[in-house]
Amino acid sequence: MNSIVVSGIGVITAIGNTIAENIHALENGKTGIINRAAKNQNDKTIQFPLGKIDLTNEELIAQCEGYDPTGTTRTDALSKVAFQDAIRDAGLTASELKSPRTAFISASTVGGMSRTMELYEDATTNDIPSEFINSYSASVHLHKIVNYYNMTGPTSVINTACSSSANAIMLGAKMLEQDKVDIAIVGGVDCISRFTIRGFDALGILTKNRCKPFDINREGLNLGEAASYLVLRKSTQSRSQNKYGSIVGWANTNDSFHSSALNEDGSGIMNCINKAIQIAKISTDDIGFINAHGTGTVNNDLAELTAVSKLFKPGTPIYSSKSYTGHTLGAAGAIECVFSLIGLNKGQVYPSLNVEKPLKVKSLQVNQVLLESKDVKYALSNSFGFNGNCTSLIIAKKE
Amino acid sequence: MKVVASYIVSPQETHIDDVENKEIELRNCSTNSLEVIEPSWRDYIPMNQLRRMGKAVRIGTGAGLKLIKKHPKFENSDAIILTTSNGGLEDCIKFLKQIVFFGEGALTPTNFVQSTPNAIAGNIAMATSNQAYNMTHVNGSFSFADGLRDAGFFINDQPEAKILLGSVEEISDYNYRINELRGDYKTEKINSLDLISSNTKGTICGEGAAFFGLSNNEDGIEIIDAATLLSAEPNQIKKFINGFLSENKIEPKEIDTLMLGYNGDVSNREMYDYAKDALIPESNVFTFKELFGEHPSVISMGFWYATMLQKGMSPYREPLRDANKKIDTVLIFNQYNRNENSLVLIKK
Repeated sequence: MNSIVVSGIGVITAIGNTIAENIHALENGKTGIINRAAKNQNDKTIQFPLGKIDLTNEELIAQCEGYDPTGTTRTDALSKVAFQDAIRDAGLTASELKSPRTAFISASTVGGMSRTMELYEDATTNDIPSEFINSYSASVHLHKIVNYYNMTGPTSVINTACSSSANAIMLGAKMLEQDKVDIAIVGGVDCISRFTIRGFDALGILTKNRCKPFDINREGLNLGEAASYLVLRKSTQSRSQNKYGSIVGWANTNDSFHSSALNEDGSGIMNCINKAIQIAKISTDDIGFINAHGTGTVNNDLAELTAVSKLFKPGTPIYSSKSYTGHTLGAAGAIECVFSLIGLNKGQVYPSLNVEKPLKVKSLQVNQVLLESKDVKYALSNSFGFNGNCTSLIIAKKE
Repeated sequence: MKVVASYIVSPQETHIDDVENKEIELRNCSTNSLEVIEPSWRDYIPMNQLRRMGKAVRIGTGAGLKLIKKHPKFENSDAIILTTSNGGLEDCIKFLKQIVFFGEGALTPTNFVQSTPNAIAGNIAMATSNQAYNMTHVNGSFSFADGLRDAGFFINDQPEAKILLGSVEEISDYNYRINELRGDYKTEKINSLDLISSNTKGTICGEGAAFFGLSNNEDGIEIIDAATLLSAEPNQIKKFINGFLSENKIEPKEIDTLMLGYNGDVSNREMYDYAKDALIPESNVFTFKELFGEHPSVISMGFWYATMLQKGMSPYREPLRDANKKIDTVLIFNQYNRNENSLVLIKK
């Protein structure tokens, strides 16, 4: 079995700025999605509930060691904060960070386009560039971190829409498995922006209420923001480096069906999950719980529940942590991998929130209570994106 | 891993059939903007979809599908890997325009969906019912080298794999303007074919889409390695280039040909000069940005040009230095933004 261990985590989401705060919210069923429209009727750009991190740009940038605030976007700041926490948690040294054998694979969909209006003005009317002129590209957050720590190893930034950071984890795991590097820091970042709010609104898949993934009457998704990085190493290295568990299976496939919808017969998703299970060399019966992609849209939840109902034994618990954080796009795969590790190690399966009438396909339905089970060894985390991108990760508890 | 098929649309007539055996008339421009020559995509993309596509998505999807049509074994590729810095930025700004002018009204989602860079690899997968590995790298000018490496990891796991690797960038009014505001382009207009000898600051822009069919099992140009380094520090860059060669167990003198990313910016020559004059002084030296312009994915076009020369195509222009050597072992070195360094080593 592949065993790529997780030796450090940094995570910042709407339910917590630290891993401990995130655990507390998950255990207590506390959502971070707030209906800001109720507070501010005049600002129509925020008429949707959002999983927003309760820190201003200035407060976030102030936490970034060594960053000049000029031209630093919220994306840059969120990624730096999560990165700092991850390397501190893993105890990485400056020389380990500088080593050509340390990879950094990030992911983002909106990148510096979070400065939506400045981008528009720089691209159309400005004669003098705004302070963000060099900040828009998806790779800027990574290049800032690489510069600050003088990193010299392989890098990448992935954008496969909402599966981006799950692919970053997969790519890092493959590099370790093939002995191309000794350490891979992997994850992703996205922040709430007008660009994505208006985009998802135009697609008609944002709900004005809190999302209720896997409810019969689900109305759409809530956007959120987050950043998370995981420090991965190969399991042959010191056992003490296995702090949180391991990544044992992965698959990336394409649903090849529609640019913004999944095939509701579940075939594309099944193909992805089956490949990940094969790589992990386990059976679907070994999966203790599923952290679903579970966006809360009509299409996603039906396609996903249909697929898992065909593959997993009756009663396999499935939940969506997007009911806590909102859909954090390029960060979603990474934070959901972290939540899966937390659940495995605590022996907990978290309830999906806001479900009134659970959608049922065959004998499978969403988990609505906090389940405690110490026997759970493996979790499946799914991530799906526009344009057919599907990624599944198999995650094992710490031994 | 070898390059066994390629197809490229660029500012030159590189899209013609049998391109390696034909002479083309070189195109120059005096607008500092080398625009892609597009063939008709009608046989590859349905008209109703074509009309809605922005340029990056159109040339990317079209070029990928055209390679597949010419080389049908890549229709069921085991991986589709797309690399770009900006993807469909024109669609992105069009969508922003909708936000600005129709703030609270119903916006049409087409521009939004098209602006996401994974639309290109997704379109190719959908058009060919391909459910395999599907990846999009958006790491600025490192994306192409990242894609080559990703393909390498994939083929290590599955030695029989066939991989479609693409690289796409567009010029829109919008990104031209942003780069212009950053001071990337020359303020005076030049003849693009004179780019490399220019003695002023700035460069000219370009665009295009280059696709490659990669596999272990056929004859082709072998990809030895690719690497990237973010640094503007000359000593660190020198160490990077030397380290790359020694890691691949190759002496500088074994490199017979350099393909260098000189972009006509007088302030951006130092590292290319180092490679040409100090590190590998006995090699042939070719350049490519006078043909294709400067953009974050242009290294893929330098890569294509190098593979064509290795296959015996007559050079489009006189080399910068003719060492009268066979073109077998080529080191491609490219910089972007003065601090994004990419290296690719290929062998006949």
